[in-house]
Amino acid sequence: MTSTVTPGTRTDGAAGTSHTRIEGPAKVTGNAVYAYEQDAVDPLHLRGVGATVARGRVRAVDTTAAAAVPGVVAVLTPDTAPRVDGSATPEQTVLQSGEVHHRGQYVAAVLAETAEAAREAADLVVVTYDAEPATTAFDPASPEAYTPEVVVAFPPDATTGDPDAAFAAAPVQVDATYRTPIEYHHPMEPHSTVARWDGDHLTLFEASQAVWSARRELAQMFGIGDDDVTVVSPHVGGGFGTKGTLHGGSVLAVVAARAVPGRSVKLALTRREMTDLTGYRPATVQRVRLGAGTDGRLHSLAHDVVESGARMAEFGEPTAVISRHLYASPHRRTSHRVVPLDLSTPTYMRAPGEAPGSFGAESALDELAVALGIDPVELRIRNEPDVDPDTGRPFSSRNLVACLQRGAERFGWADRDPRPRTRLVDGWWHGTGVAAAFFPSFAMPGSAAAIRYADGGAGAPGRYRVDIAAADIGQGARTVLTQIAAEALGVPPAQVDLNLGDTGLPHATMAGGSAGTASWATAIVEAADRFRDKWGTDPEDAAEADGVAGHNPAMAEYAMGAHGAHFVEVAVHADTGEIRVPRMLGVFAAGRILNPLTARSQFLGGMVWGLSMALHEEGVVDPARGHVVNHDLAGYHVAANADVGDIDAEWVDEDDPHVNPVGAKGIGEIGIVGVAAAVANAAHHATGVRVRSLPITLEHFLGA
Amino acid sequence: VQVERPADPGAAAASARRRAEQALLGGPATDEAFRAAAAAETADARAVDTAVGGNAFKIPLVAGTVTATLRGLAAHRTEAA
Repeated sequence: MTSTVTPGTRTDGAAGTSHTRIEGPAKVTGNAVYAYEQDAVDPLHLRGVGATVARGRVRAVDTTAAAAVPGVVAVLTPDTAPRVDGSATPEQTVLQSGEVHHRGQYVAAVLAETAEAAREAADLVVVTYDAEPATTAFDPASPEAYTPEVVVAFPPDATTGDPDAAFAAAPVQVDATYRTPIEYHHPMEPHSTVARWDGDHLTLFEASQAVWSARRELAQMFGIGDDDVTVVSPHVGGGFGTKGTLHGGSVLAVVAARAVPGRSVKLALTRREMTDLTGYRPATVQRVRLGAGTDGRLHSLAHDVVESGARMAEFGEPTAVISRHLYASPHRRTSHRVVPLDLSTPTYMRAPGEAPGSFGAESALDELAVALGIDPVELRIRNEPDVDPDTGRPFSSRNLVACLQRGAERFGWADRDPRPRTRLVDGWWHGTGVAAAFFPSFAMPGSAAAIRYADGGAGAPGRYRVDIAAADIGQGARTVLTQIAAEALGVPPAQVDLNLGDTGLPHATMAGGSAGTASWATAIVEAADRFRDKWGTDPEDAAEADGVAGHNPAMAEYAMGAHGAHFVEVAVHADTGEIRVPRMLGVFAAGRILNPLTARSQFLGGMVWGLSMALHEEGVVDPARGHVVNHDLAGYHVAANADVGDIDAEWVDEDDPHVNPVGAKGIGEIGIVGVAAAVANAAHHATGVRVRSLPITLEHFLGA
Repeated sequence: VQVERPADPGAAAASARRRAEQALLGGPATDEAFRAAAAAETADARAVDTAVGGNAFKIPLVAGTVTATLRGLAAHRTEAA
């Protein structure tokens, strides 16, 4: 792989070079302690009972048989469970009333001395309901569709000029509707909690993307002080957004633990519970209208979205937000409508908005390229904006064109015959496709870091302890933050001991929005600068300094984002329609790459996820019962090794002095953005069949 | 196309159901013949449609899969000979 990395500019360049994961040996030897394996005090095992109706009220809970199972300590029901008396979201308000918002919602739970007894007893709890009519099928034409307050952090609607008139007058038009299904995070490690109350102090071992915000949520739920809650989360086996806020399972464990003071309550969710209770990416229907001149320049761009939601709490997926940033167009509209359903609440999932939205936006651009007879790489370059189309601000840096050109060069794009359905090799139609990628870059203010020096003694080098309650969710935060601290202090990484994942450490913002590294690095660099200002290069033993990440004023002056280009080859079997992706290349421009080894894993992981989204992933809700039919990994398919062929990622040089002190843009999410469109575009090039809904399965190509 | 099969007392009854095989016996091993045979086999197949998707695609999928598989076998046979 070619890695063109800007060398470290601050001191000795510890960051910017590959460094294996610091906790790698602990993980591969099974010694890394995840939440469920943490030390538990006199532990009890918890098993929830999920509702079997999609909407209604619990009429009665018969706990007689369950309570008689040997080893059962308590059976909790909405009438008997300890109270959540502070503020909580509806999904966090567990066992507080008999109201049922969705199938699978907890309506009872069993605490037992063994996991087996808890499970057996949970199966014996008899719950009867007064069911009410439920709507669980997503109908984009539903009269219940409404405009959400926000789509994550953005306004739902934005209009510039007169997009309808400009579209109507445009010489070349594309008007197409694209669909994406419900999709699930399914991190390898299930959501896991070990909770214990000692008086009014709660200790929680939790698989979490943000221990400090988990603490805040719990303190508010139970009306106690932040200092009365300890949250510890040293290793997390994947988060992807689903471990960003506390879901029903975590709260159930805390509620149950309240009933057995001094004892630890352990809960690891099953895949089925994860499907029912930990959020998902909502389904989207996206109408995209592109009006262009014969030169390929956009006159009008409209991206109007209807997406599924939940009646119990609002979540708006920012599906069309990508269309506010990628291309220049004098007339533009983006809009979002949500159809509330009697399902659990959707949540952030890797590249919320950009992942599904790029399927519509970048498929439509390919359709425009075909309609115009202009190469799709060239068409994107012709529509490159001078400033951010949404805000009018200059870009802090933007190298989408460089990504497209480098990718085209390496992929052999110049030799591409644009005609579809012309390459039949050994019974497979082959084609190639391209799509652009974008993800915003930002940093959350407020993280804090503390640095403490310990003299090495007897001529040995001293050690720098760096504390920050950041989260390593598998992305490599522990390693990269060590490198950043080492660079900022001007010492080798081996002299730095970095601690994270514990509310006993200084406050840190969430591992989310691809903003973790930028946010935490800002605090670490500030602390390191203050340490050197205070102590120079020869500190005394126990020398200390700390730093807090402030707000980056440049965020108000510049538009900041990472960009990329995906090139894929697709083969579709001429007889069976089977679709394979033998070749994938992603080229990214994401500021300074701090660790090429872990960065490559982030990019490739995102691309494989995009491939999985393109070909496999689809949550299927039974509209009669409101349950997710494929609620395990046997039914919910994800890409496996055999799905991935020749895959590679590289990046172009990008020196961005504005984004943050280390010049890095977040890379956790951009890898997935645009992949599904690139696959659909390549499938069209291969077969002449345009697939406008995900996943792209073989039936679309049969009879073509 | 010829059939090679061990003697089987139930073969007579079974052969009545083997429409694809009957359609192919004695004829040329061509894509058209394979497709026609698969079509004969699935002539009575009725697809089911539901609110969460149907299985109509499986009927042409049978034809495609049978055709691809038999074509491969025929090529293999030709190479072996």
